[in-house]
Amino acid sequence: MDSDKLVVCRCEDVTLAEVLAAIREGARDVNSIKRLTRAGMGLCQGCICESLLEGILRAECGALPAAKAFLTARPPLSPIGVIDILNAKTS
Amino acid sequence: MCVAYYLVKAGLRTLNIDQGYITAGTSGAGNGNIIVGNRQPGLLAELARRSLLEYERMGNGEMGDFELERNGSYLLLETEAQAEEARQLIARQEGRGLSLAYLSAGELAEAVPGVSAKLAGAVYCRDDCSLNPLLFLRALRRRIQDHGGGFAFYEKVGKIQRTPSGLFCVYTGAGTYRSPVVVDCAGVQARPIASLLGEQVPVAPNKGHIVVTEKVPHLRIPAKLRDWADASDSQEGEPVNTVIESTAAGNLLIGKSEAGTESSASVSLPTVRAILDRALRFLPCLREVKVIRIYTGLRPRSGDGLPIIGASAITAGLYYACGHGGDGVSSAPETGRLLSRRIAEGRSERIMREFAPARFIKP
Repeated sequence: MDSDKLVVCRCEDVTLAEVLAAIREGARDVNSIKRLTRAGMGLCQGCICESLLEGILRAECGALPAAKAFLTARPPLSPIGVIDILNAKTS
Repeated sequence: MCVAYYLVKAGLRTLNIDQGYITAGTSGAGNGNIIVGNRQPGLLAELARRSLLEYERMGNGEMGDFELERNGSYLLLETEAQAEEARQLIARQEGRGLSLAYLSAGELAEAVPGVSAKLAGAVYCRDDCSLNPLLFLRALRRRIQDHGGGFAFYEKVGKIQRTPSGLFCVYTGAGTYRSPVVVDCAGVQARPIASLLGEQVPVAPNKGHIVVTEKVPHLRIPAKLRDWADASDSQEGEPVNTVIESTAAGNLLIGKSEAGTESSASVSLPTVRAILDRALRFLPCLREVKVIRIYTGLRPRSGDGLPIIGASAITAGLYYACGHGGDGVSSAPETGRLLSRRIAEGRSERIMREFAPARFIKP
């Protein structure tokens, strides 16, 4: 399949070709691929594409240590309104 | 990387050793602002002004596009006292080449739709710019490579030794590199790197939070919105003040916090609340927007808030370019240009006295 047309990150519309280009350039961890391509920066924050990025990187470069295989986890788990953050009760 | 860029242009051979990839550090976590207009014009504003000239030169053809935009920024005024302070600053700046303009509340509301009607006005800083740090770093790397400079990515420096002949041996586990000159430009890692050579450089991580919203094309902000006030203590969280901007993709970035020395990357909910609470005072329509990510970055802050640029007063051949705090993007090119002149030609420009490492590290 044409890697220019195969979409890896649907939120940000990032193709396999773009991910491969980032790896060719020298990126060897998924966070760097994210920063270079925007894959994983969208609404789902990598829920869908994180494992794809890891798989592509592993296929190209071999097994990865955990520090390079996962996107940095950040809150919130799913999108939440500004007003809901301000109103949430802390306990 | 700017240091390497000016060194290779001066004909020297360089190797950048990086524990990650070009985007992994603070440059990849910030918002890429070049802030020239400040409440207190001073050394940082001068570094930014000179850096902007370099960015413009690089952006004109040599490096290709890195989304350098002279989009300006609005310093938002909440009180009549701030407005008076702002008018006095503008009067003092008259004729000094810094382009600041005062906007009344009505003019601000026209320029920035959605801004709070309670504001007293704003100062528009026309020279403030932004760039895309990732595109800039990629372009810079290509230019350095074109000039023969090398890169060692994913290599962490574990040991630096000096040979009797004065060469440095830098060990990374993957390789050993020898050079008569070492530049410590390791950002938040500057302190551990310097300590490998027995020098204590006071650079500590200063954590900042940024909130990222969903894409809101209807809320596109024409220029960065900045708080006139300094970061002040919030009720529960870290000190915050406001900066809001639109990204090219249409998300909003809402900041920001100033922490003490805090090296963990964890997110503090009270701090996030303080940031959002303050941002709503300027842009009430944010209430309806959804947050998709909250992240932190570490600013490499020096002991006195000014960068450390120049030769070590103790170790011959060791140089520093670190401690830029939140002004790394604003001051990187001029830092590189000044230090490369010092290394390649032995010339110290006058302004470098203010940044001398010897103010902290004395023989």
